[in-house]
Amino acid sequence: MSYAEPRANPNVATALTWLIPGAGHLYLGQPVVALVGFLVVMGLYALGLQLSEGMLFELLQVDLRSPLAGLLAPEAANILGSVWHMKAHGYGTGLPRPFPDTLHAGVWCTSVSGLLNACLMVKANMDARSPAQGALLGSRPALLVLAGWVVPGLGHWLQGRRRRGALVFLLITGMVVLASGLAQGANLDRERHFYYWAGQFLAGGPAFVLEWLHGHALVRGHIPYNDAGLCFGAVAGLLNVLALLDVQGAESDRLLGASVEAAPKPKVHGAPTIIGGSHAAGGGQ
Amino acid sequence: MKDPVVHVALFVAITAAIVILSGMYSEQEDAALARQLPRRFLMFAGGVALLTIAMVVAEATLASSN
Repeated sequence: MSYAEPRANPNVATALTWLIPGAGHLYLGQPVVALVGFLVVMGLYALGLQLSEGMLFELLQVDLRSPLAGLLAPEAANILGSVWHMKAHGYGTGLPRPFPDTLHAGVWCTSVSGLLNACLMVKANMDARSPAQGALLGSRPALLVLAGWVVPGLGHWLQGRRRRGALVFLLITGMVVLASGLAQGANLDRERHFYYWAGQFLAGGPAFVLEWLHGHALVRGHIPYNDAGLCFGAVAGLLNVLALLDVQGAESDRLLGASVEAAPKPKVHGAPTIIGGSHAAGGGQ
Repeated sequence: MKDPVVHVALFVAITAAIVILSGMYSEQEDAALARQLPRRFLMFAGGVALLTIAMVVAEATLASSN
């Protein structure tokens, strides 16, 4: 399907938002959206830094630390926040110190900041692809993606694809629950499994609720299926990304297709032909 | 292998999730997706079986520590 001419380059708008929250909308000439997006995303990151005392990357085992190690964390969806974090706190002073009581709340805030910036990127991309003459189309796809993260399958459900939404919910939630059972909750600790937790974070609400219910209890013995649990949790999150891409793609196609159909058709005045119509009208064959 | 039944059950569970959700990504229509699922299951299971055979052979030959 061919769509109307976009109002700006969607790749540039998306990349700018990834680097600096709101910058894509500044490029699109939407300063208010840019400012609100920047304040929400970076405000949440700042709150997370405050609550975790900047100790997020100190959760990484020493042998996994490198300048680019943070790129596999959800925070990497907000490059400005990640760079600020590394510059201000990095991997700590090297001296051991206790984690604050609000560590987990803090690292959830910085992670969700990355997720919100990803939604802002979806909005910037779709706003840029909106027809030059017409309404901006980016808000609904971004909100559906956010809904599909909060409750897997909710994005499909709100699109009217209810059977698909219910199946996504059952599969993703079932996998996270099974993962937590197999790993006896050890998969729910970011300080224990930094990267597996990052994958599982993408499963959204179910992972959050289970982590809250489990309460980061101590591991007191051998867990026979720990590895399987970690694998299931991370795969559930990654599969939810596929589901979110399905939501975003279907919604983009629907909105852009509708905007093409709604666009006024140019009136064509050409010379009549012997079979009716006009030369100009047949020019597009 | 320890607990082969549990391992097979876990493999079936994760295969179902991977095949169905990746199928949703590549197929917008539910009816078309349902038609494709058996072939997708077979492709995935066949691919994993080939990989397993390759790993077992490599373990017994090239990567053997004996």
